[in-house]
Amino acid sequence: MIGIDIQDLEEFKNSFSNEIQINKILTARELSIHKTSESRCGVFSVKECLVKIGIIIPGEWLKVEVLKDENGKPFITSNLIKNISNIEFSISHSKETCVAVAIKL
Amino acid sequence: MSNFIEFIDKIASENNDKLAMQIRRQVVMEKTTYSDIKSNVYKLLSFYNKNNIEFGDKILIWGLNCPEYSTLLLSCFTFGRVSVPVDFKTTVETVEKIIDQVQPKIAFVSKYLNADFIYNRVEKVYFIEDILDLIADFDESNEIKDEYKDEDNLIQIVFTSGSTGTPKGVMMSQKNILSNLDMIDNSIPKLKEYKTISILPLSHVYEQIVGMLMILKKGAEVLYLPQINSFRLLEAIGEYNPTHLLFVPQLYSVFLDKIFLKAKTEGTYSKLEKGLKFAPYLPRFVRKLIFKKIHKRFGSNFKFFGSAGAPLNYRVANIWENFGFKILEGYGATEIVAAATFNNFEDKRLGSVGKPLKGVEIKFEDKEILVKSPSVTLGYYKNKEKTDEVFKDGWYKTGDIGHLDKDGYLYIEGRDAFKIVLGNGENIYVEDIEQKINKSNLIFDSFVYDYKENDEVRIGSFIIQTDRTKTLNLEKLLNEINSELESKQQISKIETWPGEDFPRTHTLRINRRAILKALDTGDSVSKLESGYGGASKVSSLLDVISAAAKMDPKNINKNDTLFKTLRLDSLKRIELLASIEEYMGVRIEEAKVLPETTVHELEKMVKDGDKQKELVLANWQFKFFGRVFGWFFNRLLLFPLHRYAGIKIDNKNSNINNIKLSGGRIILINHPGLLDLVAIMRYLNRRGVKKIATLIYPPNLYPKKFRARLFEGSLGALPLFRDGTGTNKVLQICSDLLDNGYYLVIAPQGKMKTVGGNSEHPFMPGAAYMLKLLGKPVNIVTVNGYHELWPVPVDKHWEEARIRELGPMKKGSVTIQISEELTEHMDEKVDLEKINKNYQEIMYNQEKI
Repeated sequence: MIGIDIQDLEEFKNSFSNEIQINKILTARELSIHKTSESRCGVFSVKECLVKIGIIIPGEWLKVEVLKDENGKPFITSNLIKNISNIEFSISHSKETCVAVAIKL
Repeated sequence: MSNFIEFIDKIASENNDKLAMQIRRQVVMEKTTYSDIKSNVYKLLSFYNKNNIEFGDKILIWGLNCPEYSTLLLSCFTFGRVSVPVDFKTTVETVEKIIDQVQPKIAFVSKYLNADFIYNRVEKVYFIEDILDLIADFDESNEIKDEYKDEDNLIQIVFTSGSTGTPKGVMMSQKNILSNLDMIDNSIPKLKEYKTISILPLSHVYEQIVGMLMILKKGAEVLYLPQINSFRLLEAIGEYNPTHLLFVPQLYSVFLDKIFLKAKTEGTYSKLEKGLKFAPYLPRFVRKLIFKKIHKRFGSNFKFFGSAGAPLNYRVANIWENFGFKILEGYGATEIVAAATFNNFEDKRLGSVGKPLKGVEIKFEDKEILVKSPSVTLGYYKNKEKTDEVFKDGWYKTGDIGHLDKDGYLYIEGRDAFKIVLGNGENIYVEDIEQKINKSNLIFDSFVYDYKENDEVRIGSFIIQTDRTKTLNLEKLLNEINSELESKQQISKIETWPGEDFPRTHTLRINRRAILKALDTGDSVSKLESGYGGASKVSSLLDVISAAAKMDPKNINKNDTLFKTLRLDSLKRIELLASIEEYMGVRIEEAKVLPETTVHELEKMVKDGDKQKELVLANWQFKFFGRVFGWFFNRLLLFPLHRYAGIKIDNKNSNINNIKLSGGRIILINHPGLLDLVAIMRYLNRRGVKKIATLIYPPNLYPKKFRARLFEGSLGALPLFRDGTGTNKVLQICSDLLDNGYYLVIAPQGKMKTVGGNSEHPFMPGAAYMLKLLGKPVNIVTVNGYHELWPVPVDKHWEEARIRELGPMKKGSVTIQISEELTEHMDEKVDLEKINKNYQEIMYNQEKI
């Protein structure tokens, strides 16, 4: 299964301008690691892909986390969902947009 | 005390391990004691030294209130690193101007906010919330230099809200802040204990003094909220029982609206109105009795409100007084740190801002108020011209007009900058007229200005109605208002304000300059942003939807689908649900909102959600009466019956006394059959454990009242919801109970063993996560052999079975095994799936003993 998602960076910034909103989609750990809106938008985009491939449903944004390993490579982890090790994903940015693809192997 | 090194030493040595600050970000209440504060402040000094942040360097702080924010401020104050706290709602342009002016060496920002623009301008940026991780590996520094102790050190620059031009940075010394703290300390009501919730931003010096330093000086407690809106605040007040709260004037109106709205929906509004009519003639304690329902919402410890930031609306303040609350108002300015006058508890006068504080001198120059005190600050940062203009020979020219009455009470009439000069040279102060207009019940707020007609100066006004749905007869209102005003104050024009609210400054005063500018240039005032930062009064679901969809509410139809017609994509959906939570206090599950959901259906969800919000978790079982009830019930009835039914505990073969037990731990049990919890309780009772709470299957508690009370009373039961909605709330209660020395009993398998059924149910997937959130040690307790004696009848829920099917299958004895203390789940880096497996393994093995 494959999922793709594209986000408008400016819209993302407007929609997640305060602590109540951002807390709905990213965990505290994710926020510590992904500092800029661009990076945070990328994480959200990956999570949208995970919805498309049936790993989570909308609203379960905090059940999966996109963190970074020592080399700065992002990976997915979850406290609550099993079998996420077989997912590959990639994120890309431009000035205005952010895109992510995820594949369930 | 002349410096902060002494201040920190004093509060830490007097209070040691006493609780000072707390915040609940997820489940656990994170606690900071007085000795933690000292330790963290000195660790931060090591951090500054290591990162070349020298004495006198500027540190920009931009974020939400939290204990780490306070610690950061204290470290700056103590070691002469200059804090520049900026309100997180300040516009990006203004913050950029501030950064250009002060050139901060580092910045601390909140990770929950979008700080992209700061990254581009400041070299090193850290997250406020992660400070403790940042300094975890540092030792407390002992490199204390003498220069840190100089009372005239610059320790903070606070920028005032200049609505035009360059923002002005007020420079404060140690002496300024500490002297103002002492002055206010002398005037604050004397209570046995103080407990408050931090509401105003810590970038506001009033909050720093009254909400933070004052609390620490008194060895008291402050609660920080990770997210503030009126619903969360009200919830927190109910749980935390504060002694006092510091409000900005607008909050009094917001809460008043809520009280009236509730009275209207409950049909008690006319009663409330009648009560308010008679209230002014009654003593306070009678008023408190009449309005006890309202007082109950603020808790039994509540003593007074403090008001700061902007002048109080007289009408609103009066209603609160009539309810029987005490409101203390001060008067001050950032240029004199915080307060110059403060209303005394005993002989306060509504409408006056009180008498000058001890050490404060007040004089008048052409009615302008001038203040002299040790807290008159060092002037404006890099702005000699402005400094010379308002700071003279130790006096600060406030720019406000006022007078003292014969008893020494100060009354503010208005600001000199906004006075209206009439044709005959007489001065009119607009705030004075507005106060008089605002006394009317029909008017929420007003704005007064001058305009010219046939070369004559006239006075015009805008009003915001209390109840917008009513049409006012403006002409009649104008006559009524004029009859209350002096002849020179007569108003010629009255209009209703076209927007939701007036534009406001960050202290929520009306942004006069913005309105006057619009009137001057002939722009339409309706184009001005409502409130501060565009945050206007949101009152209905339609307002929320229209904001998210960026559509006029009039064009939204009840049958419109949210995503097809209104084109709300998934991003906007989250924004919409977050706003519903923020403004209406209702949490709606995102999965329930589908592309084809209509506005009408969403309305229904909000209504249903409202009912759910009312679901109150019982807590009587953890109070004195509940515990006494549980003690008697268990020992006199439940335990003997359980024994009589044939369940014996084989003490010889149980490892009952081998493992050390202490309060504040989680007991994971295998769930071998009916009333197995009673066996566990009997066992824990033998071990001298008195405080027990258990998480049980919710249908056992709702809605069957009698049975629920039995479960609650005997087992200390709380419901463990599985759909996620209430889980957080329950876990928060559990976390507090654990902090209070309770033992929390959980059955992680989620299923009971049945006759002949599988005896090794796997752990629920979220079990380890729950343990991690609670962050307390675990022991696994198994009741071995119980499954043979008293299992659940096959394929039936016990409620469906007949009574005689529910008895034990045979009599016999069981052994109880307890594991060593397990703490693997408390490790931050641990893989939770592995924990689930490990603990499950331990339980299975233990069952076989």
